Amino acid sequence: MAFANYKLDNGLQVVVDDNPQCHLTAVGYFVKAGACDETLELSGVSHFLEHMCFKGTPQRSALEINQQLDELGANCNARTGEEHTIYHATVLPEFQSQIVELLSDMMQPSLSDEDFFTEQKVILEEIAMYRDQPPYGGHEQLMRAYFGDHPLGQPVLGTDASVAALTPEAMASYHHQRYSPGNMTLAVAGRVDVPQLLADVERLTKNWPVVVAPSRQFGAGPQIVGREFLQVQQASQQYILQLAPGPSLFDPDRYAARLAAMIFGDDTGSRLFWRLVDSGKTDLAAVGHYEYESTGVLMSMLAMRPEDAAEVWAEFEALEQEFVEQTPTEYELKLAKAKAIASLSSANEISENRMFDIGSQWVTYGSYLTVEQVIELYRQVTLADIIRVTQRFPMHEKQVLAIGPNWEFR
Amino acid sequence: MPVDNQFQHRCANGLVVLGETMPWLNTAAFSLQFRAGSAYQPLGQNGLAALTCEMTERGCGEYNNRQFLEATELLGASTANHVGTYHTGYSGSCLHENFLPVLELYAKLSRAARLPVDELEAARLVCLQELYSQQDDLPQQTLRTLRERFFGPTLGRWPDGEIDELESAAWSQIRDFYWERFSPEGMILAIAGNFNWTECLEKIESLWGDWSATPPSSFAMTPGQGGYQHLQEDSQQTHIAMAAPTIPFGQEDYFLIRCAVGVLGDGMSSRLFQEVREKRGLCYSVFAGIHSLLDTACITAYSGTTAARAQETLDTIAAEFSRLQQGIHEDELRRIKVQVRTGLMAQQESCRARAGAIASDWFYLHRVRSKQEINEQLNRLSVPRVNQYLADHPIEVSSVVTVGSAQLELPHGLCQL
Repeated sequence: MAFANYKLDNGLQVVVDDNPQCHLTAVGYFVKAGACDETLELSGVSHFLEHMCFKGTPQRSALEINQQLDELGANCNARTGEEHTIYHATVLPEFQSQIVELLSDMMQPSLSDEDFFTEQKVILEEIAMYRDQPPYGGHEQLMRAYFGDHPLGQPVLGTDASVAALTPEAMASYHHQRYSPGNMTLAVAGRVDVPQLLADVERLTKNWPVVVAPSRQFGAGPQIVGREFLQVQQASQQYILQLAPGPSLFDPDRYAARLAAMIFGDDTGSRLFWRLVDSGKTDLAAVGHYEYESTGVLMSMLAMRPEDAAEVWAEFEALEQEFVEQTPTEYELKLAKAKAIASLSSANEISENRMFDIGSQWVTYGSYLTVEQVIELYRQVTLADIIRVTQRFPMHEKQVLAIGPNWEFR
Repeated sequence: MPVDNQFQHRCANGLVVLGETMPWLNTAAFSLQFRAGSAYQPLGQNGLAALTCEMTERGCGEYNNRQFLEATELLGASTANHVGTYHTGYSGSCLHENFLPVLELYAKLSRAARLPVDELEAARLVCLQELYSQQDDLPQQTLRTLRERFFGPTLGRWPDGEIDELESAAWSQIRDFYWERFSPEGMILAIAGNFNWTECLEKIESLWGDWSATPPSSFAMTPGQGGYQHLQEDSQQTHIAMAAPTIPFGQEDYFLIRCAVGVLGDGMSSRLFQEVREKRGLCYSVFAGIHSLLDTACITAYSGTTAARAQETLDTIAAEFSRLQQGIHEDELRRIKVQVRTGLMAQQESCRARAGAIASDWFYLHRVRSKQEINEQLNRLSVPRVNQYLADHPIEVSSVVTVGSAQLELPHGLCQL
């Protein structure tokens, strides 16, 4: 495997992980544009813009984009998060040049009025769809409650009102600022023809307007900490979501914190699993880390029968307390490391995963650690590190959101 | 056509072992299938297969529940189980050096499950929780209802079970189901990835070779029913699903109809995506596919849309079903061919996906197709052949299910069978 990085004259970063043994080529544009970059008036614009990149460019109609993606057999998709928008596709190696050309073209969409107003309806359908599928909407509501006015509190999809109020002009201006080559990374992994790639990208992006994207200047961490329950809607199940502090993407303690979260709340074999899932008390009880540039969160999610909510919640809080009082054992740490390392090793064989790995690392750090180096960082975590992170990031400083019919369990 | 990295072996007791070596990987994977799917449950006991599967994971041989899971985790194995219409299956992958010890654990699970009585209520709750959680998933409820209607009570049963039938399942029924259905008769073990075939086969023979088979059993088929069913829900969106009978996977012309349905609703350039979402902005999600069982199959389509636009969505989908009858075009076929080829290559990067595909091929076709064979099949496909098939075999939607705040009006031609 050969990792290499390049910076084009226009500022675009290109990272490549070439492995001739792979059977596919995975390509992704990582744009530093997400919900945290939006003002209140622009709420939802990053995600809406992601849709619009599929709706046509000066060279292609939406139909032509979709047809060509399917013609290349491209397993193509896009995702928008709090800090990034990612466009990616995986193809047979023989289609490398074509997919790079197509994705590059999509980064400069036409943003025509007609397409804008048709797609606006699709976005409103997407928002409605998630409202019908609790606890999907809960995540964004909880982020808002936890982060308050911090930019990470902005909902990725926006709201009905903010999406309906967006205009093509405002979107064009946002695109101009954020989709500048200096604000983007192109990641390519799998079987890669590197000289061809560089020649293609140089040619395809040379006329992209170069502007300096506004820098992000966020305070560290949430503005609201405490216990608060919000009942958001009726559902047949009861869901409880919780956010607590966690390390940021730049915090050296993040490996230890991820292992601590696995010991406490991985979806199998964790303390939460044995007490709440294996016993059949909950359908789901799991904890995951979300790391951002300025801060991080530990999100816990519980799903259960409404009548069991009080018992489950009490047991969950007792387990949290117990986690601080009865510190993890060497054996628990060994299990967590085995799982983390096995999962990294397996994922590493798939071109698309490699592309996400190098792209995410580069757009965040501007540097790259191999899978072996990351595995070594996990291996080095000690029990003392685990204990330190549980004290640094106390789970009881949390924001809680309950969704469902049982409002009495508090 | 024999391929030098594909292997197969039938043990004396009936167990079929299939292998495909992928030496460029560091991992190896297995897919272990028993004829213990939902179709084999007695009527009125839907959920028995799922509950039995859950109970098999609660201890075997010298391991209790927790020791078993931790043993797999220490070996770095990522594992899962699945109950389908015909099979209860277990799958897993790990670094190649741990592969044989992981197989040993699963031999123990399949042959010496403890089925501990004192874990029954917890296991039952785990299965029930899965069903409770689906109550908030309206797209899934819609597709579940469609499946039950179209395939009937034996084959159409949702493999996760029914709440009341799960609640009444007794330990003795689980024991009997396990003893009857977990047997080398009809069992498939597919392995793929980085392993040595001779060494693996020897191990597999030592783990399962002396296991005696129980006589095979079958199930009684019950017919499905057509027509329109609406489920009232106070939801933002109306969910629409429909099914039309077609030929199952394994029949000679399957690839022809698979291509046509791909053109209809698979991918962003598909007709449904273009007409329903891209041109009209009616929905976020719309697709069509084939749901194939062994001897029966249907073309299904789904969309979810806000109530005010549901009728137009249904009408547009129905119109696209009709238009498909008139045939597909060269460019559409070309796109489908590349999609299939890319999917095949994706399996070459994931031994877990490959092991699953090998097991499925064996069950449906009694052989494993090589990449070359599928490519040749693809090359033989042509627009005139697909269109002739469509002209000779009209697609007639026989079942429609909607879930939402208001019933819809069926366009002409739907559910006329």
